[in-house]
Amino acid sequence: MLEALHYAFIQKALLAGVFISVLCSVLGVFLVLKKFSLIGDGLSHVTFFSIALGLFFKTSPLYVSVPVVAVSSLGILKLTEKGNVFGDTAIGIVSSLGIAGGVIIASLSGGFNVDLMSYLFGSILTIQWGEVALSIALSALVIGLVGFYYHDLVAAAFDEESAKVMGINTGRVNKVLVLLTSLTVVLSMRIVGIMLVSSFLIIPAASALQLGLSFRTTILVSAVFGLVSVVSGIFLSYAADLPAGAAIVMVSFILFCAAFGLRKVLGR
Amino acid sequence: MSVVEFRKVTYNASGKIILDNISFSVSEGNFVGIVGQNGSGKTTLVRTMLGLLKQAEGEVKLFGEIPEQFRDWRKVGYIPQKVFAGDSKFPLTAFEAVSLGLLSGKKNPKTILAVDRDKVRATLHALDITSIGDKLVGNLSGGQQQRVMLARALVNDPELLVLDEPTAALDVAAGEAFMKLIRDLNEIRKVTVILVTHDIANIGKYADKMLYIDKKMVFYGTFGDFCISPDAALYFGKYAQHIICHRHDHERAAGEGHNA
Repeated sequence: MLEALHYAFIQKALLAGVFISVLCSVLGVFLVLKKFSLIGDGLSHVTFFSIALGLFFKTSPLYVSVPVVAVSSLGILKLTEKGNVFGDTAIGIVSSLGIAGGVIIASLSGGFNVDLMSYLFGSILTIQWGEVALSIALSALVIGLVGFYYHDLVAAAFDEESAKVMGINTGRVNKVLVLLTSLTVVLSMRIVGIMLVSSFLIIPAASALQLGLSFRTTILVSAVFGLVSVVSGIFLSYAADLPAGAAIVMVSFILFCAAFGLRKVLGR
Repeated sequence: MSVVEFRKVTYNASGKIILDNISFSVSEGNFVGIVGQNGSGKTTLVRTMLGLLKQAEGEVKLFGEIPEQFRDWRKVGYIPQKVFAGDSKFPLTAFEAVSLGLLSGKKNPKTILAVDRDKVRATLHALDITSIGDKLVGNLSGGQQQRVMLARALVNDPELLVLDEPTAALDVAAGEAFMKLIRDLNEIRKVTVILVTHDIANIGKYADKMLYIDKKMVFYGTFGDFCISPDAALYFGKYAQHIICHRHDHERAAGEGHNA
C-alpha cells in the first residue's frame, strides 16, 4: 500500500485532502451547533450552477464559483435573519434555485459534459499542483480567520443573545461563518465533489460531538476524524479501485458509527 | 445617574403594541422586579433595555447612553430566558461557559489568559460550583446550569445584573436558593439587579422595587406602596390587591423565620 506514496497524484491528493479535511471539520463543528449543517449541501448546489456557468463561458469554474457561492451564502443568512424564513427553508430555496440554474445552463450548453460530471463526484486523484497550492493557501486563510474569531464564534453558537450583550457583533460573526463556509465548499468540490461536499462538513463534526468532550477537544477530534477519513479513503480508493470521494465518505461514516458506539459504551 | 432609564417608550411589532408609553428609572444598587402575566411585555422591555430590540419609540438609556451606542458591556451581566432551548449536548464545559463572560471588552483575536482563568476559578468557587467546572453544561441539573449562567454573568464584576425568569425551570427549593444568592449579590456586592418574574407575591421577598406591566405600566414602587396604591387597586381590584399583599407578608415572614 505504501508504494502508492511514490505516485505524484497520490501525494497531491493527500496534501490537498489533509488541508481541506481539517478545514471542513473545524468549520463543521460551528455549523452543526448553529443548526446550519445543511448550508454546505445548499451551497454545493449553487456551486453546481456556478461551475456550469464557468464551463458555459469557457472560464475557470473557480473564478465564477467563489463570488456566486459567497453571495448565495449571504442571501441564505439574510433570508433567515430578516425574511422570517427558517434556516433550513432558506437553504432549500437557494439550493433548488442553484440546481435549476445549473440544469438550465447545462441544457443550453448541449447537455452534461465530462468536466461537469468530474465536479459533481470529485476527482481528487487528478488534482494539479496549482490546485494543491491554492487549497493550502485558502485553508490557511480560513483556519487563521476561525482562530481570529474563535471565541466570538463559540459565544454566538452557544447563546447568541448573551453574546450580543457581551458586545460581540453576532451579525458580523455569522457573515464570517457563512462566507468561510462558501469558500470551503468551493475548495472541496474538486476533492469529494458537489454531491458529497456537505458530508465533509457534517460527518466529522457530528462524530466528534458524540463523545461529549469540551469545545476545544471536540474541534481537535473533529479535525482528526476528517484527516483519518481523507487519508484512509484515498488509500482505500487506490487499493480497491473505488471513486476517492465516495471512499472518503464511507470511511467517515464508519468513524461516525464507531463514535456513536463509543458514546453508548461510555454512557454519555 | 440612573443605571437604566425609560422615557415614554413604546414598542410595536407587526402592528401590535407590545410596550405602551413606559417610563421608569433604576438607580444604582436597586433590586427591581419586573412583574406581569405571560405576554405582558416583560421580556420585550428587557430586550429593549439591552439594545437587542431596536426601533422602539421614546428614549431608553443604559448607564446614560442609548443602548445602540453603549460599548462598556463589562458593566452588564445578562441571563436570558432560554439558553438551552436547543441542544443539551453542546460541547461546552462549565469552565468554558463561564470564560465566555470575560469576552466583553476584549478585542479580536480574543484570548483567555492565565489571569482570566484565575478569575473563572474564583467565580466558580464563590458560587460553590468548582466541582462541576469540567462537566458539560448540558449534563448539569437545572439549578447547576443557572449557577453556571450566573457565574458567566458575574465573572466580569458587572455593575448591573439583568435576569429574565431565571427560576422558571427550577424546583421550589433550587429557585429559593438561587433568589437568595441574587439578593446577597445585591446587598453585599451592591450589584444593581433587574429581574423578570411572573411571581408577584414572591418577588417582594427579595426586590426593593417592583415594576408591574401589562403592556402599559400599572405600578412602579416598593411593595409597601403597592399595597396602598390606587392604581394597583384599580387594575387588580381591592380584594385581589389585599390577597397579594397578604401572601407577600406571609411569604416574607416565613422567609425571615427560616433565615433566623
